[in-house]
Amino acid sequence: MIEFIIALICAALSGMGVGGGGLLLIYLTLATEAGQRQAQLYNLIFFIAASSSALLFHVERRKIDPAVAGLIALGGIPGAVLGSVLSRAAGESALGIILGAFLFVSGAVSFFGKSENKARK
Amino acid sequence: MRLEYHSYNIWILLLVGAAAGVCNGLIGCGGGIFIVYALSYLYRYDGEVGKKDVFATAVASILPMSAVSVFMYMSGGNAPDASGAYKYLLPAVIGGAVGALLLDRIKSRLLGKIFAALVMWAGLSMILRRTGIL
Repeated sequence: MIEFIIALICAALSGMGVGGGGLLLIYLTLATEAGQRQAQLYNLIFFIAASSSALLFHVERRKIDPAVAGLIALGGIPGAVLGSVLSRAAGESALGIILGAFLFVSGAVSFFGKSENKARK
Repeated sequence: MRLEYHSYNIWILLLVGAAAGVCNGLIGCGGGIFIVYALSYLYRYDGEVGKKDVFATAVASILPMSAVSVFMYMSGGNAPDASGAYKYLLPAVIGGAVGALLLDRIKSRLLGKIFAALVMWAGLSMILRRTGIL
């Protein structure tokens, strides 16, 4: 039950754009017995479900340019293949350190950054 | 949305997508921050495009990358066991929809700052654990 509630909160926050897609991964990595790559796989599956659901509403309410999203995805798909291969090659400890560093830097950028001023609310 | 499709912008979008994709495949999350910053820059003169629109576009573009990453994780040898992920699917679907609906009603800026601090703490504690310091 507690995992259901945590996942629900993480998904709601992800749907709101708070904390991005990594909140459940933090929980899985720090509070469960899941291995690093296993936690990452769970998080990816979780993100697909949460973002698909959120997108049903975003498509109606937001201005999404399919060409922009498509171009980013076009660059992202070979990137995801490369990243997944690198993830397989890296050890669990190395992945944990890379994830930790990424979270710390992206948290700092979000905390101290002013990106919200560039795009009007 | 009035993004002009100069080749300059197209290359930015492709490169940002590539960076987000590597991040998505390597650590199973993230990537959105690159996209949000890049789109905020590209749309800086377009008053009709807001932060929430940029976020929705980022989500739409990360979705196919995540699907490819899942396929890559589960194919080949040494694939992690995914059977435990099913218990997170229902809360993910419900929570994702609730979050998307709440986005219009909640001032997410303060929440964003709180969770940015949480993410910094989590990142630091992950590094300290993995390096054996903690």
